[in-house]
Amino acid sequence: MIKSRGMANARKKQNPRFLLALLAGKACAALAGRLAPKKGSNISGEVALKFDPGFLRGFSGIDLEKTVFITGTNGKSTTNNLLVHIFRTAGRSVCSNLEGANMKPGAATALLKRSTAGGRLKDEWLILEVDERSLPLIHEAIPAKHLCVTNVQKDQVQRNGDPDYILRKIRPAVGPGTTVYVNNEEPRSKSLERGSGRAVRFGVDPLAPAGGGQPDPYAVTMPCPLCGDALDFASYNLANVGRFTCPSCGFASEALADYVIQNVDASARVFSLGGEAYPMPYQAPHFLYNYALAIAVALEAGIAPADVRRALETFTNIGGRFESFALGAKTVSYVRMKQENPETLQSALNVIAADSREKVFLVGLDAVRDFVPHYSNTFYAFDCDFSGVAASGVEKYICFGDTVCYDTANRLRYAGVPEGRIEVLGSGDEGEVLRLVAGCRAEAVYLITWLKKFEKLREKAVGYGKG
Amino acid sequence: MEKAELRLLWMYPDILNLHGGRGDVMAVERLCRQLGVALEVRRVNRLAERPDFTWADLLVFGPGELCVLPKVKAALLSGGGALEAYAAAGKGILCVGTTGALFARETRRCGGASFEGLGLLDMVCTEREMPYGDDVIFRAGGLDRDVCGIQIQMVDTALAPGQEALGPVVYGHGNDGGGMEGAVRAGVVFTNALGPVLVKNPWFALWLLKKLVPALAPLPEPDDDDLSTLWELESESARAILAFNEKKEKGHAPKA
Repeated sequence: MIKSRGMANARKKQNPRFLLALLAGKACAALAGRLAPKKGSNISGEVALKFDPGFLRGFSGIDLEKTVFITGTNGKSTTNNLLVHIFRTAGRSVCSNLEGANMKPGAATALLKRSTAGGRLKDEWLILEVDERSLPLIHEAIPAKHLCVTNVQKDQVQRNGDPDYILRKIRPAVGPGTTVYVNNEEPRSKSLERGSGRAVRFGVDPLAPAGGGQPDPYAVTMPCPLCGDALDFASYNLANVGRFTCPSCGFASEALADYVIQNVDASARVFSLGGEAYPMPYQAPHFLYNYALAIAVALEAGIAPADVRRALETFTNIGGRFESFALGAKTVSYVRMKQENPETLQSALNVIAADSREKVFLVGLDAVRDFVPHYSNTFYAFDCDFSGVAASGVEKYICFGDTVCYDTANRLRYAGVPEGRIEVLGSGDEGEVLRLVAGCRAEAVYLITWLKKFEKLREKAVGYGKG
Repeated sequence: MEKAELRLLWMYPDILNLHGGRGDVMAVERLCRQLGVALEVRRVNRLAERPDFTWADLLVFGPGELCVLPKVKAALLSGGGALEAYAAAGKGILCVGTTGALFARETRRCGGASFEGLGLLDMVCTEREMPYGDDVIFRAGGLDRDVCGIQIQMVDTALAPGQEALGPVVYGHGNDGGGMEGAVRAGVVFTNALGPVLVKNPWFALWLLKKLVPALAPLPEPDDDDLSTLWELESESARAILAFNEKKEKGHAPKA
């Protein structure tokens, strides 16, 4: 159970530099709120940090026992949004960075917006989504006693390198005074229980029976985060998330985690946890881990299951639903993924593979333009399994984009897709893309691309074919 | 005529599992199908396994994390000299990405620790404070085509005097920003290039097989016209990526 140690009322003698930074940040936030109310989630924090690089340390009234950081590769924003929604539904006051700005300036912005002119936090709870690479800096300034790690997976390799690089960023934040919330079925997250004061494990019962089918000679698992040998997975709920064991050192997921989602009923949109039934606002399997983690923290904080239920009933997550647009009689369903993130690409592929209707598979991976140098990476597609999609009744595969469409088509070829079903459009021209789609027979179209390209295609589709 | 054969040991694919590296073995399989080579692939999954190196023509080590390499090295050296004998016979070894550090003399980690590698390549790796990702385009000795790949540089690699590079860098960072890419000594080839590099560049895959497996030397040359027809998609990809790299906004890797 989360308890306060009474640090909330500790008053700091504020230094003038911090107060000046706070004033500048608040002024900037007020201005940004007037000029661009939907933007600027970072800017006021950036300004404050320019005035005082140690700005995050200056706030008073932060109860570290009521401070929760949510970090990890996938699911941070959803978990943060849900957790804050649960706390607020239960009547708790919370300071958070719900806009998704999860680095130092984002944390600074959240705090300055919810503090007095003297830098005292007005809220009882501080719940922050924290970027993995920023965790050391933010945690050094605000050593939260509760650290949630959703998972540690392959992601944005240009900045994150490999998962062990990220694990090394997170590990120093786990100490004897920390309660760490770890994913029972994700080995790297679970490995962080070592060295913590207390580990709270969350998980999801196996969603599908293990085994079955022909073994894939190219299937790979992952190294044990403790001993480095190959892990065995008995089943998967998500890519690289499932019941696992290391035959060498014995590291394994627990038979029963502390907070386990069970009895998932997709048609009734409910699941149970600890004998309580909860509504399931979004059905994709990865959301179940977000629910399990948020409920674990909420129940640990003494929030009643009835309040959690009320919150889940009214929870809306940005990007949580599949968006779509019409193209004549066709429906183009957009399935989101994060760039250079094989786990989210695999989730997208699984959604498409689960639909047995005849369909068009429209894919526009693009060169990675996160920061300079831009580059043409698509190797994450080789970490994914396309065989489910290939066996799901796709009439036509259309790969578009000006740089990596050929590599995308090649990946499909390696998955056994006949070349005659693959169309390669060496440009991202929206009119051309839609023309190719319109020429297909299937009415169901699945689209994987980046959000901006989806928006442009949706815009172009309005009135498509009229004149 | 007797059908050519290739026996490939895929080394620790679950442990060295990064960056779609399994695609390189898929590419060898595809190439063998195209060329009529009988391929057998065996996996070495666990560190405790003692593979029969005498069976193999080629060992493939995919890209992995630095933290597992000392354990992989220890496993390889516990085979009673089998790997050493394999390497001394000049038989083929391909290692990709950060796993190159396994074959280096030494790797210096951030924070001052270091570990010794197998020393089959005379080079020293230094861990970078921050990763560096970019395209890499290079020429491999005697191959008259560019090889396009991706680098996720976790270590920079300094070749010792006399240690031959795989080839000059056309674009990108290569080993350490000094203009050279990879390393080659006897049957051991190391490249930083991911992609998977053999998927994107079947001409390079063929060049490698011919170089590393003497029994495959009679295979056609990588510039064979019939093969070019088979590799149209990969050639289009290479053209698009070369054009992209000519136009794009470029950056520089900070020093390791």
